[in-house]
Amino acid sequence: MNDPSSNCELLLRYLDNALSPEERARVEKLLRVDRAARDMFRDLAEQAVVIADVNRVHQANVSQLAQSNTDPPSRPQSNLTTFVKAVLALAAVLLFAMTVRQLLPSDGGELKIITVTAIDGPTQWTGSAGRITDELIVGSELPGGTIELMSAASWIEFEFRDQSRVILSGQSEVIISEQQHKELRLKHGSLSANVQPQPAGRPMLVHTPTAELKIIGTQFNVDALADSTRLAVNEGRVRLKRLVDGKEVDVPAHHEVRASMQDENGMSVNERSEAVSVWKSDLKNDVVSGKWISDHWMLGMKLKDSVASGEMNEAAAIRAYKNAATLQNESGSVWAEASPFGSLVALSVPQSSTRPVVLGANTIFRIRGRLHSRVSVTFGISTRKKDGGFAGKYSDKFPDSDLRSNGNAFEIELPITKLQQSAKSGDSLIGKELSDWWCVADSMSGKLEITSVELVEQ
Amino acid sequence: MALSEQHILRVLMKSRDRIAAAAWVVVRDAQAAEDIFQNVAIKAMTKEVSFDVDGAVLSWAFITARREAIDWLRRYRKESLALDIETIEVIEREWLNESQQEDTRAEALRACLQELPPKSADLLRLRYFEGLACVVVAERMGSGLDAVYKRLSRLHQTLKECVETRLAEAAEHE
Repeated sequence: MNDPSSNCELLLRYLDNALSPEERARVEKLLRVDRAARDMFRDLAEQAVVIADVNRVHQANVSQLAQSNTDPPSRPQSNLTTFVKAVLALAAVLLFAMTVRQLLPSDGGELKIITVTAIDGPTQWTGSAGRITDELIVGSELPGGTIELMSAASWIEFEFRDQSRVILSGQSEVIISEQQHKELRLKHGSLSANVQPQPAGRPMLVHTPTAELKIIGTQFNVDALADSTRLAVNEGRVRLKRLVDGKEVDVPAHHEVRASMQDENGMSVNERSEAVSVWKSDLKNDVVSGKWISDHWMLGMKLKDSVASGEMNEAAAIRAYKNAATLQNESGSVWAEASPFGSLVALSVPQSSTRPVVLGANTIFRIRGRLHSRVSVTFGISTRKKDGGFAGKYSDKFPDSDLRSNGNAFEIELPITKLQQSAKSGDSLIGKELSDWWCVADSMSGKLEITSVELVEQ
Repeated sequence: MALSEQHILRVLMKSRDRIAAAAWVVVRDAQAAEDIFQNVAIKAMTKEVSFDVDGAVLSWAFITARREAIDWLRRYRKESLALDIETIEVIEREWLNESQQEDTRAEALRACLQELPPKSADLLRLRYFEGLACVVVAERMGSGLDAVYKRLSRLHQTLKECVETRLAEAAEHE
């Protein structure tokens, strides 16, 4: 190691895997036999971790430690006495102990990796040891585990230690971990995330039942259903891999893609289209909570009952069933399904609408259905910022008397200006994008059927 | 008599940069090296082990950091160890001997880093904090690859000389 500069450069190339096999072997032999080479190697390693540490401290806005470890330039070096060093060492120990204890929950040895920054509606957290709590509050620090939102009106915002921010909305469930990568396993539901630039080679990973996303640093929204994943990227770039065939696509800003288990051919990345202000739900395709039942299937059930009660013979019933059949049996309704917080119907707007639906001041929801129980019903929506993440939930509650004034069937017109935001930030919903529509009957056994949902201009 | 938890932490903190650097030699990723040091400290804190003397703490810490680093390499990079294990053990022993001396090098290095011009600090940040390969750093900074290696090499030499100067000055004043 006679020429420090050129040998240092050689070691840098070696550490960067930028040498030929012969050159690598030469460096490795040098490190085995030459103390000076090893000293230089150790210097490089120490400098690398200290440089990273200084930047980490700076980025985490805890420059106090860096300052306490650094002498001001005007201060003579003689001040670095044994006493000062002892104090510095003790401060470092105490600070480290505090850091470690902050990272550890009071009841175990798991690292805390996220902090809840906003929350609304019933939410449950399950820790890796099976501990369950529904008492999450703003400021709760959590280790890896599962967050489950229990109602359509729920949402939660949490932050990783590097300030990457994730919002989970509606009936959603996600497993969170952070080892070398941040990882989110979105079992179902919707999340949007604003991800800080991630270290090289360690992107954030988001897994859904049908796709895997690699995120370096970006803002995106993802909706996970049982058989498809929809990804919309607002900033940066996300790589999506469809699990059914391993096909990968890069999705740039202002583009979106849908990965489906059924669609084995194309997986096209499309630029986000011009927004529209009206929308009509395709109930069969849009439903994410609730059970779609076709009118023809309902007729079959009624005919079976008629045969069983002797009102009709079997041949007549079959004839009636066949006569009613068409090749396009798309008419039907969505029946609410039981959830811990009432009977629920939820529709995902982007499922059938290829264009963003923006809420205008003069638009109303026209909702038709049948209410078979004496329960009040809350109608609500989730919104997203235009080209951004989650923007809030809004709802309005109707007593059963308003919905059952004409027998079981109802048709209501709900101006969007009447919808109230669940967490009262006072944000207007005008100009926001409609993400999903939902309704909840107040009882788990409440029988509620939705036959049509439209957003129309007044 | 077994060392207290507080004493073990103090010993580990004094050699924090060297233990993390030993992990870095294996994983070559500063974030992972820091995570590995924290895992080592947590293992020591959670009473998985006990020690009678400081040297035993450090010896255990270097070995544990190396094992965790090799695990990390296999799990996340699907790679095996680049250097042979004997060379790594020699490097660790050299660190171990230095760790038992007064540890002021890291403090001096931090002070030297504060004195760097912003452009130089930015280059080091991209390479070691962001963990970018030099070819990517060159792209980001609009420089040639060879120029980046040369600048990095000069910066490491500058930092080394700065540390030695500061240590010599400190020794003169004592």
